[in-house]
Amino acid sequence: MTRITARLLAPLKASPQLALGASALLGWALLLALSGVLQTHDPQLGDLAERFAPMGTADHWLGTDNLGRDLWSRVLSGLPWSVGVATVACMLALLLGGALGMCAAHYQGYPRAIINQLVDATLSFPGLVAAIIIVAVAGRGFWPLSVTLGLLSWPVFARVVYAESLRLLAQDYVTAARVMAVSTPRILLGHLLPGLRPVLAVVFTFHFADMLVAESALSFLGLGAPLGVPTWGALLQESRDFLIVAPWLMIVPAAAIALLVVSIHLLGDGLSALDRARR
Amino acid sequence: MTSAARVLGMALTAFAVACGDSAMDQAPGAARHQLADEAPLRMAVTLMPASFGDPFRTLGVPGDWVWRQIFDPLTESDDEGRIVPLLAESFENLDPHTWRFVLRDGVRYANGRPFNAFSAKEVFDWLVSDEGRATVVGWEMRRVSEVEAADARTLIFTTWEPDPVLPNRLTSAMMVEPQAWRELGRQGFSRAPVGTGSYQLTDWQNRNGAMVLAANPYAWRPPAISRVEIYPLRDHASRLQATLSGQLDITMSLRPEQLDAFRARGFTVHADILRQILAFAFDVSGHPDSPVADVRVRQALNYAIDRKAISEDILQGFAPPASQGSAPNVFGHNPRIKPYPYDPDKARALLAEAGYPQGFSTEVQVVTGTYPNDLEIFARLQQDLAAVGVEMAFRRVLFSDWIRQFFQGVWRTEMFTLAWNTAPHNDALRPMEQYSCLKARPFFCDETLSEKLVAAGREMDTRQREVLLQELALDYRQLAASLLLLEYGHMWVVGPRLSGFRVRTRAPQLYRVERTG
Amino acid sequence: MLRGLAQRTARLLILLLGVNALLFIALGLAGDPALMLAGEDPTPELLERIRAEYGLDLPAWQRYLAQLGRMAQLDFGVSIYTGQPALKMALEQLPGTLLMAVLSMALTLITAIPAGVWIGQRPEAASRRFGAALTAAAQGIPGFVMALVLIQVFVVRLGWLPSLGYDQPAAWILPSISLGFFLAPKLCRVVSAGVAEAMREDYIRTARANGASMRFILWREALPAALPAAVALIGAQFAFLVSGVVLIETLFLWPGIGLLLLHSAQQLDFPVLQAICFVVAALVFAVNSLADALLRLIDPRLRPATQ
Repeated sequence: MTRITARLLAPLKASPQLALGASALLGWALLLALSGVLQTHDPQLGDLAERFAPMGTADHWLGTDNLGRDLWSRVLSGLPWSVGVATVACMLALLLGGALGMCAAHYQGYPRAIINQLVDATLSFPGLVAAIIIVAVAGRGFWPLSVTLGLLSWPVFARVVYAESLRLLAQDYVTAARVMAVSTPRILLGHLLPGLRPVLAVVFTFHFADMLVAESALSFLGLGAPLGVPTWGALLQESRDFLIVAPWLMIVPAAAIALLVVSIHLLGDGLSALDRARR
Repeated sequence: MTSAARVLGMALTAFAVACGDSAMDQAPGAARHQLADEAPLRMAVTLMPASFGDPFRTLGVPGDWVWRQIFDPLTESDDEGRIVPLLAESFENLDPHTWRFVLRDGVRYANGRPFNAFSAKEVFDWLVSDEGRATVVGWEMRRVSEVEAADARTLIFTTWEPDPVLPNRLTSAMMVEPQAWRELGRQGFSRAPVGTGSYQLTDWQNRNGAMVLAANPYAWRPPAISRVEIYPLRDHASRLQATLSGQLDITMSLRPEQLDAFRARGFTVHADILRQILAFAFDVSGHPDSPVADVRVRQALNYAIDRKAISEDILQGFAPPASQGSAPNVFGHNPRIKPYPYDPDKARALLAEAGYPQGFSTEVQVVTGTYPNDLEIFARLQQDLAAVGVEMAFRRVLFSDWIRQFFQGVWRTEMFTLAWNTAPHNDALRPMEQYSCLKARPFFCDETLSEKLVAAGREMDTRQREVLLQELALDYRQLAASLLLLEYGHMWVVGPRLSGFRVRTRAPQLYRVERTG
Repeated sequence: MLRGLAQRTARLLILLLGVNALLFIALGLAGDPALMLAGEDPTPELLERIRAEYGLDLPAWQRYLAQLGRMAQLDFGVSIYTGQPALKMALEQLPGTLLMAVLSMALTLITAIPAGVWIGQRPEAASRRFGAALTAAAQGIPGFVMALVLIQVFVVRLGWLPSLGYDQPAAWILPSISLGFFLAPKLCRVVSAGVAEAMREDYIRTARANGASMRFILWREALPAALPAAVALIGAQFAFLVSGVVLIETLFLWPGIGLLLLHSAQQLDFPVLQAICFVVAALVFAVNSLADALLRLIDPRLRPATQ
């Protein structure tokens, strides 16, 4: 038991950045798990007598919004949605883009041409049009929103994975595997994938931030989460009307997004540092 | 991480200080961007008409905001909402099928040609032609069989069937210059419209949607300020910031809670007296088994919401509680009907009587962003209804989606947003027809009303017609045909040092605006 | 060379056909433009007339074939709302978008590359770590928030710059900064990662040991090594830039393709949407081709990547 703990903790000791990122992420995970418990007020119910209470008000430490709803509780209740949408969108983009990118690199000829064509088509299709159509057809909700974002953004992974895979496939150990007639899935999963991990980690971390931001952009255009769900993007979008009377309505969700993104950045950085150390 | 977070927090606080604290008590900073003399009047609206300068393709706003600067119709609605002559001098009803309009003398179009009964006849002839009738305004004229010019100033309208609201319909029939209309064609004219209005179009910078107007040299109502720029700014924060920085003189639809700050800085606020009634409609026809098919449930919902609190706390008293499907200055409004009182106990009792003692859950489709503070109103409604056990969820839909359901008459939910819009007639009948079996694919069809509605549509005696409409208003009240909310009219904020601003027939009268200092 | 060009053109054609077909199906699902045209209270008769007028009453396959035929002659039809030729409308908006793209790209390059090099030079240093965290945080701030804060500070509070009116260069500053904010943090991170990687390579260590100046090493050795990833990122993000531009153009009333795209999408103006997608697809393709060509110039290893 202690040995396992020690092995798990060793990389954290080796890279303080990783330790920092991991603990920050652990903090977020705790917030996520306890988001229901930690809410001090009902995030949807407000008292109009208490509207626009500033930060640091006795009962509302992050202030209240235009309906007197507690901002702390609203940020917490939006956390699962925002993180969930970004995570699902990223995973979808990673799986789709990663698989297609590796295939394009490995198979030459038609598969590669078709995949590249698909990447080009997706990249040049205006995302806004796609988002409007998906909302019109599938409605709003967690899955339509995250799948839209994932389907629009997978080429980012595909391109990076494709370029990196070409580089790796040219390296000796993969060539050797090919000569030894190792099966394709094993080359892709056993030899290529481990090599792709560092670059995937980096792309994933900044794609995650992109997805958080993209969700708020969709909110801005009226294409975001369903009404009443206080995703961080929706909070930011709604706060714009009150920039003058209640700037904290913008600062709090913006800071929440920034802190989350920085935590993930630290983790990603720590991971790649660790990778380099191992190599 | 901690140091990063701290610095980040400091940076954000700095933003807050820069943006927040005292922006409102400073003089408009960007005044220097305006030209010193003969500065154009700059106005922001939320939308521009999609058909540009073709005034027949749509009805009402946003077209009214722009077209009424360039064109005049024969009639308009005055400050009390009554229909009065505009390009006409007078009109009278000769018999149930015939109307006589005497036109104003000496009016010219912006290209110098005279406006008279002959040119007006040409316009109406086009509107009642097959091509014209395919337009929305032409469709309004469908009861007109013939238009005759008895002499240069007299226009005689003959109708197929009695049309008591013909003068009301004419408020939307803009008098385009017939020769330009003919020669340029509809598309060409939409880019270079010619009318009798105070302004003419000099540049429709369609690349960003803004529009530049200059004084019409032949205007019968010459403008005080000779240049106007109209900007479509659909985003509220952009309108707010552009107004605060002095880049705009006139702005529509700012949030009510910011109005006091504007007033303190010398701005004036003008509300359009022609109001529509914000409401949620019940799709009884499509959801016969839903709770809202029961009139007691519909009444209960109406009793459960605190309109007064919504009106005062969220809209600062700017939009009063609605009592019926028309505002007080609309023909056919019944002054004896008061808004539903806020009575949650009665609501609970009615729900229990209808078999829902524990309440129920329901869903409303809403189109957001059409009036300020809509999200807050919805949130407040949710709270009020939850208090009587009704769990109301809001599903936000795009307008294109909403209108498709409207025409197909197939609604995905048992409730949806639909304002009672008496525009453009200022007459209570029009929205009632929407809430009836007379609509092509009705959502709320009560056969007992149909006969009365048809009768009110043909009654030529004004007194008698008003009685009919007021009775209908009472019937609709008893049926609780919709969840009534508030009376809402667009609001305009006008900068300091400007006077004479007035809204008529839903459009600002820009020609009257003057600079005072 | 010539063969490569022909291949690229063929790819472009396939791409345009694909995007077009995708759009045709998708728009059919999205709604009926006749309903949007008909105004506040139309009747079924009026709708039928409008549908007939715009040929919307024909079966879908007939409309698709007719449209393909016209598109082969670069005729996308006229806008349902304005009656203007759709392609002309889209092309008229292009200069505004290109100006914005060039300005914001220039801003991005002159800020992100030096910053990336600076961070990548010694990524372990505390100051660089902080810089990296800051760029990460910056990436989490949506462009429309940035634009709002910039307007509040420079337009409302200080009154130094206008937020409306694209005919004066002063009005270009805020939109291009807001848009540049979209790409700069990402580019900075990619460059810093690439430079940091290169600095660990043996040949650079050797060069340093041999006394080459830090400046020379950074700009002549490390940065070029980081460029392929940066160029690939710019290529991949360009289409997103066109979408990001929608928000910025709305806030600043900037006469670009995004503004037209938003209006047309909301009003279901099919011909204009088709024309915009055509123009954007061609543009993105051109930028990506350019990026690929640059990549191959920089990194010969990628040469087999193209067919």
